[in-house]
Formats: sequence, structure tokens, C-alpha cells
Amino acid sequence: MEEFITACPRNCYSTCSFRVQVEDNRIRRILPYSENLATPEGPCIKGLSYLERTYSPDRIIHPLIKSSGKFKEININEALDIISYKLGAIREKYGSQSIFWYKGSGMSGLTNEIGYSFWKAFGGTTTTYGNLCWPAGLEAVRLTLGSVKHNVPWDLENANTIIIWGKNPAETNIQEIAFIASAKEKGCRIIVIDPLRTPTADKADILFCPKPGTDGALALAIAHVLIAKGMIDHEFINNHVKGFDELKKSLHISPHNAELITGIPSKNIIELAEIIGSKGPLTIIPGYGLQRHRNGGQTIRSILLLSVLTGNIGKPGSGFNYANLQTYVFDDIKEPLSYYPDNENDMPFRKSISMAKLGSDMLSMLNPELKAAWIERGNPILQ
Amino acid sequence: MREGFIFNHYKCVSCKACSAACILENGWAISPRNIYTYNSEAESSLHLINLALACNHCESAVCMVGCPSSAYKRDPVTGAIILDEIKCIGCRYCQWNCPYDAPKYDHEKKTITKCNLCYNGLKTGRQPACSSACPTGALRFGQLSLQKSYTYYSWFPGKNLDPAIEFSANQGFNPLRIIPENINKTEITKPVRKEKRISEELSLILFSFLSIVSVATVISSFFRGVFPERTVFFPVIVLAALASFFHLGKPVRSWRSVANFKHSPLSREIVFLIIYITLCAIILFFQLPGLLIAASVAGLCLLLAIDSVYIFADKKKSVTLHSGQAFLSALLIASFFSGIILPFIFIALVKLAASVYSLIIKRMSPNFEIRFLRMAFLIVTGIRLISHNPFPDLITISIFLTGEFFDRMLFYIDFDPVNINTLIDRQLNIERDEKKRG
Repeated sequence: MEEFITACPRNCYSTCSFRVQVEDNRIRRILPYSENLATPEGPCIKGLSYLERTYSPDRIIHPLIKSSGKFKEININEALDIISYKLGAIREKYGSQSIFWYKGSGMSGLTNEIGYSFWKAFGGTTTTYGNLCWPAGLEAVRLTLGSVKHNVPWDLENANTIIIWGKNPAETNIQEIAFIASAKEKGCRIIVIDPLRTPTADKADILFCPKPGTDGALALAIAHVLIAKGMIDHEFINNHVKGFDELKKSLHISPHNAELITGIPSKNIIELAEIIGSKGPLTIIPGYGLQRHRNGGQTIRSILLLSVLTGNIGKPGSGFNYANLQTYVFDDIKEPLSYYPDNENDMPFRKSISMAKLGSDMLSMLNPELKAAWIERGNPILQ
Repeated sequence: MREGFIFNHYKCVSCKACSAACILENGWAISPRNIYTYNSEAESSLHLINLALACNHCESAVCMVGCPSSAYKRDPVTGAIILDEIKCIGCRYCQWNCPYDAPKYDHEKKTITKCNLCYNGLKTGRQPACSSACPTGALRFGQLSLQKSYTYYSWFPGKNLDPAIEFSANQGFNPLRIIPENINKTEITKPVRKEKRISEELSLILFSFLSIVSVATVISSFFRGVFPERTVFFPVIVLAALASFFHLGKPVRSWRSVANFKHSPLSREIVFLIIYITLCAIILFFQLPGLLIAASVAGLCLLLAIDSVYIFADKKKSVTLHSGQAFLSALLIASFFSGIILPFIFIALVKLAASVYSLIIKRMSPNFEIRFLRMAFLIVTGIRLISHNPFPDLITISIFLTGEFFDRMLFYIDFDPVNINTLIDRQLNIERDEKKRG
């Protein structure tokens, strides 16, 4: 039986490594690859389902053409002829930028962005900038810390307090639960902040339920208490923090004010602040939902502020696990800047459609107007 | 040292990777590994945990002992209890006997599917598919400690079977503290209870009731010194046999069901059924008094075997004192047909007492109407029997037999073998009541 080491290419926190056993030219088993210390126990049910999915009779492996409302299977050569004829005709009549290229995240393997080469060779296209997923938080972390990095996932075991803020790893990042459990076994306090009682909340000691969209106010009130009670790391602040005095002056939100905004009683805000200030090392694991609100980036910065004030950065068990772009080894460290339109016009690409305003921006394109759209790895009508 | 499953409920997130891996490895349509959530509706005053359970390959494997066709065997190397699906007749008796709900009935294949510990792989050093696939390490397979830590959950069933499982989490037993205190409060006021579907047992009710009637007819004719009416006792037992035959998943394999006469009460029941039917068939042609005695004895053995099938599976003793027991009912019906008043009144009083006991002491409140009618019909029969002539008329017979049929139905309603599904809900109800009382 042959065995290959590979990884799950889905757009997921865990991106598990796994071993694939092949028998008679057919995948027989998907097994954990324990050398990857972040996912030593292997993939979740979605990863295991590759076995079924690969050989499913429902899998689309031939081109389909839609005629009078119905999909019909056609030959690949026929499909290529139709596409090249139509694209060529539009390019000839309106120019290559009259074709809109939309791409979602899809599978994150190395062939993910291969379309770039095609469209470059084609002579250019109109495409999108921005992203609906995580850039507000990426930019927030980059502006605060200088780069988007965090401790290795298994460093959670060294934490004495873990705050899972607006994230549900029990369902979205299952492998992280193993490290949370190891920390918990060593006596670590697990706190979940989420408006909902998620399956992750049931692993916690305390669940704080602020009103949705008020996380920034909660974080700032905690910062206020930390400073007022002197529960901050003066040495870290003196050596590494710029603008602390300005922050102190502008921090007006008291626990009482925050109670009115967040719905969390002020005595509990103080209690949470005391845990953060005294029970280090502290790791905060924020989710991505928080930054998909107005001022989302600032919300992430306010939460990150708590790690910074207490000196919980860059030490074992002290992390702010928002995103770790150190793992983007093939991405040429483009993130997060790659989400923004280039300052200079990136010929032959016209990057002028905002992902967040897809419909209206598509309609506003002039010289040339959009005449066709190429949609891959995503479903913009639903997403 | 013994190997087994080691489970940590704190790490389990109910992702079902274990179930999927099991299906993918073994090519089954259904997974024998289930994830149970204690407090699945997240009642705020109680803790919430997940348990991933399949077969625990017990030292005292009741599935194997009870299996009439000897379809289960223990693998000598790994200790795994293996089901040979070719031998399984689909009688589902093991589902009553196993408290862990480990044997699953595959409605497509019409046989049982059960965890085999991936024993072939285990011999070559490969872990079972489920534990190997668990993405959090909640489910492991390895050396069990000598300490019997399955006493961990007070309600965990089948401790006397010595299951090869232990539990390792010591967190997560406290209710979640939620702030603000009045938010996300979930209070479940109605007790959780899964209703038993009696329709699934209909063929068994029919089989056992018809067997009772047939045997009672034969015994009463012996007491009355006549031969039983040919149109009654034989067709009735044949009908009974057909009902039990077709309730099997694999009727064509039913001949295997005598294989485990030595251990399985079900196997004995079938052997006595065959003997009884054979004797009855002979009586049809040769009306010898000796045959009638033999058939009566075989019939009583059959009824005792029927009762022992349930007593064996009934670890909670839910029907030990039940008035619907086959042997007791046959004696009552036989004395009714023989017109012997005194034993009838005595047995009827015993049955009434048992019915009242079920209703009041054991608080078996569901199906109150049937319980009420059952008792009323027996009392009416008694009164008619005493006040009228010794041999009953057709109306009395109908009332009496309907009452006895209800009684047998109630036997199946009350029959409650230990099963983790119902046990989890019951424990939840108990803990919730305790919390409410403070």
C-alpha cells in the first residue's frame, strides 16, 4: 500500500496535515500525520470525507452547459471551443477588461491562483479588490504589532488564562480544542466571550454574553479597569509601547458606562479585568465575526490592547491568536496589502471592483463596460 | 494488561469523525459508534458533556451469551466481540441485552451491525479507525488501568459486564457560569422522555399471546378430559410461529436459532416451540392421552422459556412481577377454560395485585386507559363466571381474552431493558429535579 503525506486544502483554521493510503490506485484511508504538531490527531469529518467525495457519483467531473434552463454534459473540447470563441469575440469587440474575473477562496493549494497567468496571457481583465473575510482584523493587528504573527498553536498549553473571544473552535477549529483541553488539565482558566452559548462555551469556566457588536466597549472598559488598578506590565509598556499616555488620557469608558452598552454588569467587567490583569500568562483567541461589524478593525485593536497592557505578547502562553501569516510561506508575504487596490495601475488588470460593493461597482464600470463575468471558487450571489 | 477505549468527554466536541471513520473503514451503511450528549438541550443549571460510545467488548458479553444463532464470538487475540453477519438471523435480541446500544440493526441488510474493534488491523498494529481518526484525542485506544474508572459516571450502565472502557476527563462536571446571569437561560420544564413505539413489538405480542392461548387450550382440555378442538389450538400456535418467524430480519436463516441452546434463553424458546408444535401436529392425528400430557409439559416449558427470554434481558427487573407473564397468564386462561373457579379466582387476584402494583407503586402512568380496561375486564369476567354457569358464554370469553391481550401488550410497554439512550434522559431528569429542590 502506497502512502502520501499531504494536507487539507480547505479555507479553514486548522489546515490539517494527513497521510493518504492508496490501494489499487484508489484512496483507501485518510490517517493523521502526527509530525504536524498543530494537527497531530488528524482531520475532522470534512477531511475524512475526501474519501467519499473523490469517488462520489454526484461529483461533477465533466463540463456542463446550460441550455433552456437545464444543465447538459458536454465534451471538454467542445466546452473549450465555446469558451474561447465567446471570450475571444468579446475581447475583440470591447477589449479584455470588459470581462470580469471573480474569484473566491476555494481550495488553498498551490494551483489556487493559477488563473492569474491565464488572464495575464489573455491580455488583462477587470477584477476585485478587498475581501469579506478577515482583512479588517489583519490590518488592526499589523498596525498594532507590526506584523501578523502569533505563537505556535500548541503553545496554548502554557497559558494560565485563555479567552476565546467570539470564536467557536469546537465547531470551526476542532484541533485547537486538544490544546485548550491540555491547558485546562493544567489548571488553566477558560473564558468564552460570545453572545451565544456555543459548544465551545460548554468547555469554559465562564461565559460572558455581551450584546452583539459591543465587544470594543467591553475591551476598552477592561483596559480602563486595568490601568485604574495598576494591573499593567509597566516594564513591557516602557520598553515596547508607543502612545500609552495618550491612550490613558482618551480612555473614558468606565465599567458602569460599558454595562449600559454591553449588558455585562460592571462588577463582572471588573472581575474579568482582574483575571486578565493577574492570572497570566494570558492568550486571547479572537474570532473573525467581531471585525465584520462597523469599526471592526478598531474592535480587534481594543481587544489586542488588553494583551499589550498586561505584557502578554511574545512569551510562552502569551499570545493574541488572530491570524498567523507566518504559515503563508507561498504567498510571498502579500497579505494584508494584497487586499487593497494597488497604488499604480496594475496593467493589464483593472482592480476596481470592491468585493463589498460587488453589484453596484460592476454596474458602474465604464470604458469598457462589463460584458461577461468569469466566476470561480465562489458563489457571490449567496455569499 | 487489557486494552480498551479511553475516553475524555472534555475533549469531545461531537464532530462525529469517529463515526465517519468507522463507516469508511468497514464499508457499513450505519455507524455502530454513537455520540450521546448529556443535557443536549443545554439546561442552564446542569453541565453538558458528549460521550462517543460503541461496543465496549465486555468481559461478560451478554450479546454473545443471549444470541440464539451463536453469531457472536470472541476473537482470541484481541478479545474483540465479533459478529458473524452470515449467522445473524436479525432477531434483535442482542439489542435488548446490550446496555450500550452497541448492536445496530441495519434495515437494508436486515442484520445487526456491530463494532468489531477493527480487529484485523489491530493484529497488525493498526489502531481502530474511530480512535485513530479522533481529531482532538478525546477517543483513544490503549492499555486500560486496573482501576475501574467506568464507575466515573454514577449512572453508567453495565458495570457488572466489565466493559473495556475507561474515562479520563476530570473537568466539565460543573454547570456553565453565564454572565449576565439572566441571559441565555434555558430551563426545560417538561421531563425528557422518549416514547416507546409499541407497533414495533406487535409481532412479538401476537406470538407470545397466541402461544399462551394455545398452551392454555391444551392444558384445559386435559383437565376436562377431552381432546382440544382441532380448529383452535393448532392453527393458533402455527399463527404464533409464523408471527415470530416473519419478525426476523432473515427468516431463511431461522434454522440457526437453535444453535445456542446451552446459553441463550431465546434459543431454548425456539426449541420448545418446535417440540410443542410437533406434538400438537401429532395430536391432530393420534388422540392419545399420553401425547396430551407431553404437549402440556412442552407447552409450559415453552411459556417458561418465553418468560426467561425477558427476564434475561430485563436487567432492571421491570417486568419480574408483571401480571402479563406468559406462564401465569396461561394458568389463568387454562383454569378459565376448564371452569375451575377457585384457581381462577386465586390467579386473577394475583394478576390484579400485580397490575395495581405496576400502576401505583411503580408509577407506570402511560397507557392508563389500557391498564384500567385490563383490570375492569378481569373483574367483569370473574363476576360473570361466579354468578352464571361454570362454562363461560361467548361474550365472557371475548371480554376475558381481550383483557388478557391488553395485559400482554402492557407487558411489552413496561418491559424496559437497560439502555444508555433512555438512561441518559432519566439521569438528566433526576439531576434536574434535584437542582430544583435545591
